[in-house]
Amino acid sequence: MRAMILKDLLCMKKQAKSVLLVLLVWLVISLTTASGAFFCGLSIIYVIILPMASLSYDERSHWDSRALTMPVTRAQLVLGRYIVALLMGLAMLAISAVVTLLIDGAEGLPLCLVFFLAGVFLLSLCMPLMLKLGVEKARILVALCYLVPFGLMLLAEQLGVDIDGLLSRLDSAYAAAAGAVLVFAALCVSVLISMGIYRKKEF
Amino acid sequence: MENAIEVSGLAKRYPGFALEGLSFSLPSGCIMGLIGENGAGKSTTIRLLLGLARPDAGSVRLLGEDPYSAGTELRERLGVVMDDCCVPETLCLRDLRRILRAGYRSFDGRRFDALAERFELPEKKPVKDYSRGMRMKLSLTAALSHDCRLLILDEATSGLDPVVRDELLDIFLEFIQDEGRSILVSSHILSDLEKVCDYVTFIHGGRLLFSEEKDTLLEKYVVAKLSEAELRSLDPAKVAGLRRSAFGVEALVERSAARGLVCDPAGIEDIMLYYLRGETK
Repeated sequence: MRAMILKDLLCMKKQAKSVLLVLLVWLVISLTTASGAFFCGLSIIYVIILPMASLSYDERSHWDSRALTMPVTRAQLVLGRYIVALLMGLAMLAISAVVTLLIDGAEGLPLCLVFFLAGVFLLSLCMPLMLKLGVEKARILVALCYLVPFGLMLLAEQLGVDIDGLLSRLDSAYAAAAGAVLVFAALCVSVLISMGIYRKKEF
Repeated sequence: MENAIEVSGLAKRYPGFALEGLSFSLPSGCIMGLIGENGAGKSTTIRLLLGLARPDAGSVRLLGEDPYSAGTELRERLGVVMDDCCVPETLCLRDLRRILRAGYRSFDGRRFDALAERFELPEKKPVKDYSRGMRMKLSLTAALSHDCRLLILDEATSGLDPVVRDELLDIFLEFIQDEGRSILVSSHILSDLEKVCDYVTFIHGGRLLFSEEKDTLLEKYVVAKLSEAELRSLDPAKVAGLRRSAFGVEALVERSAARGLVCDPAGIEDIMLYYLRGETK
């Protein structure tokens, strides 16, 4: 599995210049608007999704056909992809925590964690779709995944749910813990589904 | 002698193509050529052998194990060269070396470097700038850089110039010096296979036509030049295929039935062509 993680990291190293440029632009925007949350939100979710984008390179080069002739199981191959995304997310979480601390102060830090959890949730939602349908076909559905949270908010509004009131009544520490548990559960279910999909996949 | 590959009753259906009832075996220490025209089922067979696809029926054993359910230990002993190098295009030789070192316990860096130098592979050039021949050499370098006991190659010689093809055959023969090692190589460039193979397995339209020892096969058939009258006098069961031209008839005939006829030795290519394109008796 180490080889698979290394391969993903090496592939991403090749895109490093363009990724750093994007992050730099966001950082400048954050600094000029004095909003750490802007950088934090975009950058964390961006880097977690990045390894999934590199799946299209793998598809085009038929990498999986080679990988599966190497000493790696199908389950390890899937797990490796999640690990890379989480490693990237954690690294970016650390960086954006520093940026947030400098711009927004310590009160901005919980928001970093919320964005990280949102990124992991998106990863959990998108990875099985990508593995099942292939990157090209899954692209539209993945775009829809991004809209799920907004959709839910709109639906709640239509139904007359007082979201702001609901949020203000929530104990923030309790809600954060519950959110983290839910996202972790979603991640576990996603890994299991992805492994199931990949076990049956033929090349 | 233990078999490196054992295939029994292998079947796989795809829309518009079916591989049916394939059975053959490759004894350890030997080279087998898997031949057939484009679309005959060679790549499908190799994918089933490697566990990249699951057969609908039948069984496969590679080095005594089922490739689909085998753990990582089997793959530690496999070297595979696919029809493309299957390395993400942005990576280079050095990156692949690092990945293989992390992937194989028995990875031999010096062997990798020696092969890369022999094939003149550039260290930092991204794979997307490689020619087809270079991609093949890269794959081969990767496949031979760990302690591989069974080398499986899918159309490895196509796209290579004659000099490199010849070099590849030398590498096969070097590899096979160790008796515990075996090679399965699919190709439609038959002259190459004829030089090095011990066994020839011929598939056509998803079915096995024969799987035999090469020497037996070459011993079995001759290409006879006949008149129509001579053809009629032959036992039809002994004629594998024939072609008519303005100058008479040429037929692939079993040697035992060809006494007294004007004959040329039959090569693998003749045998394949008569089987595929010749008229039936």
